[in-house]
Amino acid sequence: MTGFELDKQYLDHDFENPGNPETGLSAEAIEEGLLQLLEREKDSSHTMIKAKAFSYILDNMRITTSPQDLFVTLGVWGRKPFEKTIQPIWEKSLFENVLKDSLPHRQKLDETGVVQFFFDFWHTVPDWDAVLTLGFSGLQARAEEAEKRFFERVGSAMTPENRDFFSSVRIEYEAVQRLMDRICIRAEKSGCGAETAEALRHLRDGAAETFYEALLQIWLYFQLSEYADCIQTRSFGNLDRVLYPYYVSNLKSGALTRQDVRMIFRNFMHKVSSMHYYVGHPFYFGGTNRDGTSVINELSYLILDEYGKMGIYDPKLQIKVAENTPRDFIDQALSLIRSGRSSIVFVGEPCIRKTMIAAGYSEEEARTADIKGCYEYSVRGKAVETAPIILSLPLIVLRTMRESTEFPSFNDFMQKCLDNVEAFCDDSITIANGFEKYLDRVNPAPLFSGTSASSLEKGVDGYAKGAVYNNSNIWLMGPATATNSLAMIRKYVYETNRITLEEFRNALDADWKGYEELHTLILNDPDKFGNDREMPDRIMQELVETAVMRINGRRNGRGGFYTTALHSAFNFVTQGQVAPATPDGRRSGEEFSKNISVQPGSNRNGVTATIRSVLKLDTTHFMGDFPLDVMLHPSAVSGADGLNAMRALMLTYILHDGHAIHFNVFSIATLKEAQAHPEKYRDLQVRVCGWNVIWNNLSRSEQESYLVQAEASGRGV
Amino acid sequence: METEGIYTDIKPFAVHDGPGIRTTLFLKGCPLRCIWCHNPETIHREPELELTASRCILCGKCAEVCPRHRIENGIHCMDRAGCTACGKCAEACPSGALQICGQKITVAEAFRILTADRMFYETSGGGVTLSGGEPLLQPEFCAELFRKLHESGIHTALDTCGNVSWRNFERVLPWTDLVLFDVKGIDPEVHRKCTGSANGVILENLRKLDAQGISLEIRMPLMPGWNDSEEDIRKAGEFFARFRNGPVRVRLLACHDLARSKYAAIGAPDTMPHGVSLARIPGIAKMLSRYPVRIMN
Ligand code: SF4
Ligand code: SF4
Repeated sequence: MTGFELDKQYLDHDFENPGNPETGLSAEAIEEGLLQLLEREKDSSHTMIKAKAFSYILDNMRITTSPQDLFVTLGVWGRKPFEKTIQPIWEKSLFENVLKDSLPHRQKLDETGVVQFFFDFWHTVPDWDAVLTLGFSGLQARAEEAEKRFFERVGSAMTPENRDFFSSVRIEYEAVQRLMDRICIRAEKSGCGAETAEALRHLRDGAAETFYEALLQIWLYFQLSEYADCIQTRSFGNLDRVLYPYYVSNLKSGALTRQDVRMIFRNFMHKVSSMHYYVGHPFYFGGTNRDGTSVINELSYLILDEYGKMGIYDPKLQIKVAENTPRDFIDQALSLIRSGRSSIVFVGEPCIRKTMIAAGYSEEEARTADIKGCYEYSVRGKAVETAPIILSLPLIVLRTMRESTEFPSFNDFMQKCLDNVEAFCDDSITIANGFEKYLDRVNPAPLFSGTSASSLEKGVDGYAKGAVYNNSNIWLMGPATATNSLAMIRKYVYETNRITLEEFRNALDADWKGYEELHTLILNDPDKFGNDREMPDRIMQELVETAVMRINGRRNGRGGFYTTALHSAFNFVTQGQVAPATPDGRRSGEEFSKNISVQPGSNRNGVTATIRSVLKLDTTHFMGDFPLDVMLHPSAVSGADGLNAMRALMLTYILHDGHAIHFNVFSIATLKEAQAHPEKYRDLQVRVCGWNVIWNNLSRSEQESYLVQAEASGRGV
Repeated sequence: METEGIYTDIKPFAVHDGPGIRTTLFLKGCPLRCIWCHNPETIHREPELELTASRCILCGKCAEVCPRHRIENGIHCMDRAGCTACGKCAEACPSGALQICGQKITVAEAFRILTADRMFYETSGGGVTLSGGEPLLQPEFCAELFRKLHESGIHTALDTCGNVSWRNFERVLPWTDLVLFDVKGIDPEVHRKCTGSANGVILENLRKLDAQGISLEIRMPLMPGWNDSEEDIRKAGEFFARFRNGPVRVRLLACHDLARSKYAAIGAPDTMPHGVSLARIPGIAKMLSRYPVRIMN
């Protein structure tokens, strides 16, 4: 890497630049071309059309190579031309034709606002080991070999679908080869560094051999999958593990110095960061190797150190913590978090292991599961997981209140509410099973399927039952808001008889106006989830376990099973914004609780009580995920005592089978100062859910609700 | 009858009151009157009515139950004279603006609450701290509680100002793993100025604790201009140098004036000096490090 200097300025604006017009078409022209292609090919299968569309995109996309950059930028960034053109047409026609009988049912569910459905192509991780050891050309050769073997095995029983599948993989990987040729020519022309040109040639012809080539390979695959094939690459993998052999051998041979490695990584992370992608691109550290040793190695420390120096929030990082994760590595991460770098999350391997073994996965699969997205996990290299359904628990409580005012006891009310939870689970599963059968008709995934040994073996797309594990996840949103609402109904309607259910409804309709005293009383009531109080914690258990019993193990539409997650993504904010007031004291438009965290402002007994409440739930029932957000005041975690306490907090949660925990350490004074002088705090970030946001990008009301929570922890809770 | 204590607060996730993650129980009543006191609500043994004006929603419920409260021109007014801290108004108050500070608690109940975080104590090497106020003004309660905690394997720390009879120490020490001992001044005059009392008993108790080999951590609250002169630090260093079980651990505590609103809440005159000593801590640490002490900051 002689003479290479990182040009931050250049990289920061790299993705705003659509690429040199000499190298390809504009995004608009590609979109236009895709629509023409769809018209021309309308009699072909969707699989074949997708493969041709991918080829078309690759043959025409712009390419940027530059001496200021060790990586390559492909000109589809941000536009996802396929997702903008063909995919919506196919989605629409699916509902209007194949699924037309279920449409009224779906519309009825949509109207309730309780359920949101998604065609989910955002939650897979490719088999990075295969991508690295084989490279593009090796993957292509393996696919061709698989096709031959498949044909030998099934002969004339090979269906048109099988044939199209293999053809589509071949077409896409051939397109990748042509693109690699173009990139290599461009690299020569643009005078990019000799090392870059050479690495690109190597990757065109075979698998990565050096540290730099390996990271470049990951980067190229990522761009092609996410932006041309429109299958999101939901993790770069545990880079410390996959890159380590290259690192060791390059250092040993003297081909690279540690300084070179730092610079390559810096360049890589700057590229990711400069995309400004709102949910962030993750990679993770640690976990346990197949042989039971810790993954954490010299490279883990080096990457984390470099990340710490950069002051960026994307990529976001997860640290997979096992019993044998070195304490000094954890402390290195905690120190970063403590200084405001809240884009780092801890995910517990013990919980994942128990959950997966209980669900029938092998010990090794459970130990080596990949972390992806915000904090989810799935079997490495063998899974296509989706999250087609989000259920809003608070809205189910509100609906129950509207159904009748004649519930003689709280138990009757609760029972009705639980019946509704079950009914919504059933109804939404029916709908999702209908459309998930056709995921590969909406967006077939030949590039991704080419990395999947199982897809190749079965001769079908990864999204058409091709993976070994094809599970779907249902996200339960706002569990604490729903629990607190039920607790307040129980207390004020049925225990103290302070108000009737009908009056309560009126108070909510009035958004608490005219009911200030009741509102204050409820806001101050400690009987909320997360305070280690028996009544609300039991309600939480009943509520989510009812859903779990209805969801876990149910068959989905893709040959897999449903699992449950207490995950809110950003919907706790967006859905909260359009939802009326709830009985827990939340005003209309305010956010719902996120993940399994407490409702902002409801924490009375501090973070340890919250963890105790949360751990009363059986975390192994939530194979999707089970993340907890914890706010800490800087004074609570200052000094060596503070670091020790933070580590203990995290380890206690994780060693008692908690799944994911992320900390926000901030000072209220700083946040308020940033509100008043946004210009001075452009980079101040807070973690909102699975991702970070810049403080000043939050709306005023979002900032306010964040401060409510912040102030609660400032009181020493 | 079961032994009862009177307390003001229980603070979970206390990380600077001894090792690890701890829960601190603040007991009410104190023999000193430190001008900078950060917990003025713990000074008097008797329960007091606390009013946090910012939380009041002017609903008038308090005025319905007690004539000492009035809502006048949209302002909540209160006449504390004659208030018996009976708590009726606090019970009626929906906002938590009125609260009785100083509740009774039995040893059994305190034990139940303080052991809830056992799993955090285990991972962090933490435990329970008794603070205040001066816990040793309630020696029976402290002794029984510490004995129970100690027997169930929980680390116990006693945060004391030291101004109590040695007999009170003796009651509690068998079940105390660590004593956090406040030293507010070695010079008797400085001490009197800062706390209203002489320090003879305090320093004598501290010497005895050292002589008995009790695990100790000295805490020195430093108020600029009051007890942080070079002379004050030199005297402290010399005093600690004579410890038998040195070098003793010393933690320097910066004074701040964030607790000012607490004085208003209980209707007490605000004695807090203005000023924050954070910036001076490193310099003082350096001065003190010339003596055989282990600075914990
Ligand atoms: S505590 Fe009792 S006496 Fe004092 S103001 Fe309240 S109600 Fe009146
Ligand atoms: S009862 Fe509480 S909230 Fe209502 S006026 Fe009195 S102090 Fe204020």
